[in-house]
Amino acid sequence: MKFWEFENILKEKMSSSKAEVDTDKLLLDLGLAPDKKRKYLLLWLLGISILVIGYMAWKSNFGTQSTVQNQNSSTVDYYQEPTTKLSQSEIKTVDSSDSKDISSDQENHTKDASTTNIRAEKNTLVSSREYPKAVENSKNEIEEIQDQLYAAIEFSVSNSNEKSEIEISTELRELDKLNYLNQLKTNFLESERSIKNPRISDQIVCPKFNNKNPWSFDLIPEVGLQYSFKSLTNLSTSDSESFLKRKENEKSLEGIQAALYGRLNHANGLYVKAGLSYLRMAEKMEFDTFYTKIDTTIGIVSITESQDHDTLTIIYGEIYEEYEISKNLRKHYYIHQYDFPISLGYSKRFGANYFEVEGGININLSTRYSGYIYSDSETFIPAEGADLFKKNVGIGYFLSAYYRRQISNHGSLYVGPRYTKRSGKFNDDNNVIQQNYSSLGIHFGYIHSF
Amino acid sequence: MKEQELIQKCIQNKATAQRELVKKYAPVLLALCKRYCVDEHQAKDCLQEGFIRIFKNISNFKGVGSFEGWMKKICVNCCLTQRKKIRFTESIEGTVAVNLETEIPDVVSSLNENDLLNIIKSLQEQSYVVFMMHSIEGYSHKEIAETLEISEGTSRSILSRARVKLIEKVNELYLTGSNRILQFNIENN
Repeated sequence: MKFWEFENILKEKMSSSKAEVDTDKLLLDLGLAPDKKRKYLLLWLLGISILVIGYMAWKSNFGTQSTVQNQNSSTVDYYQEPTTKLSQSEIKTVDSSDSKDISSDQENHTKDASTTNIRAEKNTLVSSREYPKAVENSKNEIEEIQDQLYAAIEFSVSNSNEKSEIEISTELRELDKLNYLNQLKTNFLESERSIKNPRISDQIVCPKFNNKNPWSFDLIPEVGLQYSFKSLTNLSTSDSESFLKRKENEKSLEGIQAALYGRLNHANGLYVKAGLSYLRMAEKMEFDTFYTKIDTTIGIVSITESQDHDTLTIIYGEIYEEYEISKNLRKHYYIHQYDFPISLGYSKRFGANYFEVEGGININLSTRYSGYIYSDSETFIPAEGADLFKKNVGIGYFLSAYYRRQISNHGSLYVGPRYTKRSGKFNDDNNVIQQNYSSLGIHFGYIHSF
Repeated sequence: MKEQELIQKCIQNKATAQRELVKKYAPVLLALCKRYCVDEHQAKDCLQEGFIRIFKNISNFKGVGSFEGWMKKICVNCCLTQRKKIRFTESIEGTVAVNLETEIPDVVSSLNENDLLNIIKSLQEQSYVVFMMHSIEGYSHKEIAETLEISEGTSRSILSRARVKLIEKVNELYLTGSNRILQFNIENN
């Protein structure tokens, strides 16, 4: 090895050598705070969103069950309360009859029977469906007791000649008792009527349900499917082979989108929505190509026979054979967009249904590319790192309309079309093939209201 | 971000671009500083000082030559400033003839970077610096003369002597390599 070669080796090794640097510390020393690591920011956001939505869904489920239970128990309480009041009024009436000093066993028996029936009724939890039946049963029981008493009195009057004054006095009291039962029945029917048509006292002050905070917040995960309309324009004066080939053969495929939004609603129906959105658009390049391959072999070019057939002249030489080889080339490249959409919308409610329209802007945070894009001469190059595209395509605009259906107290589903116009061009300034997009898609989402 | 865009944004004092610049070039520049400084601590100081000067003077970069080369020169200047003033006491005018076609053992090409650096560091300080600046960093004699405040002739002379010395060192290493390894083993035992 010569010395100058040694020097070149030295230069090559030294120039390309790198040392390990604590970049964060160096940046701090230089007064440049190290940038926050955003590599997994989206994953973190997605994870947190799933946790929040999961927790809300769990809470919503259990909350709904407990609400149903509370509603049932409150229903029972509501119907139980007037029943209890009715029973107490009857007991009170029965007690007042005690002051009339009714001492006979029949009276006591009657009182005990009616009181027992009333107590039994009091202790029974009557549901809303069972209540009319219970009322009917009570009326029947009273009428039955009434009939028995009438029968007993008639029997007693028919034998009045044989009875003393005391016995007559007792029977008269029975008649009082009968009047009492009539009164009891009247009271009962009056109570029933008052339950069916309650009278609201002027002293009752109804609470006012006035929500002072007109704002509410929703969390919205969304997915979408969209078709992109791409336009390719040649900025160069002459049409390059690459441009013509791409314009003719490059087709946009459907794109997929996922997003997570937060939505601030006002009671008047207007809302503001913002979030993070990921969109993957796909482009397919497919064309058939063919070329001719020439194979050369050495073989017999001609055989000549003399006139007298005694001599054969064989000429060997190169024989050319042409083969036409065709092939189908198909490659894809993908555009990954991370956007920050902000929109203003209006929601109109019709019962459990809503119709919503919104419009807004998409602020592009970052755009990445993957796959292979056509270059020229039937070759493809990696889309990423080829300096063909911009890494930020600026602002886009969109307009959406949704049909939304409420499915629970906190949740609703929506579906609707969306038109998006990307105002920024995707090509790098050095790339003479200008690429623009607009898209039409359908989007589905779940709205969780807090 | 492309280099031109990076430079433009650094001129505009964009922190994102400055961070990217530091991340991209710090490993190369630290390796450079280590070659010119006496220890790693000093090398890191020089790197920091170098970046401060880069950001301060980046608007003066006219785009002539490579941007990396321009930054390397700033860092070399920082290192030479930090290093003690190199004294050129002996009269070293006059060029010593050196034949760049001189054959040296092939084995040296397989040495790693540290070993090669150790061979060069065995030169005298002034020879080492001039050799590194000229042969590794690609400085011209005029630039060396301006940086080290010596004449171009002196720079040439030092470089010639450095090359002669280096050829001797490499040959010596090759010839006595086996003995040295033996000595090393004995000392360790």
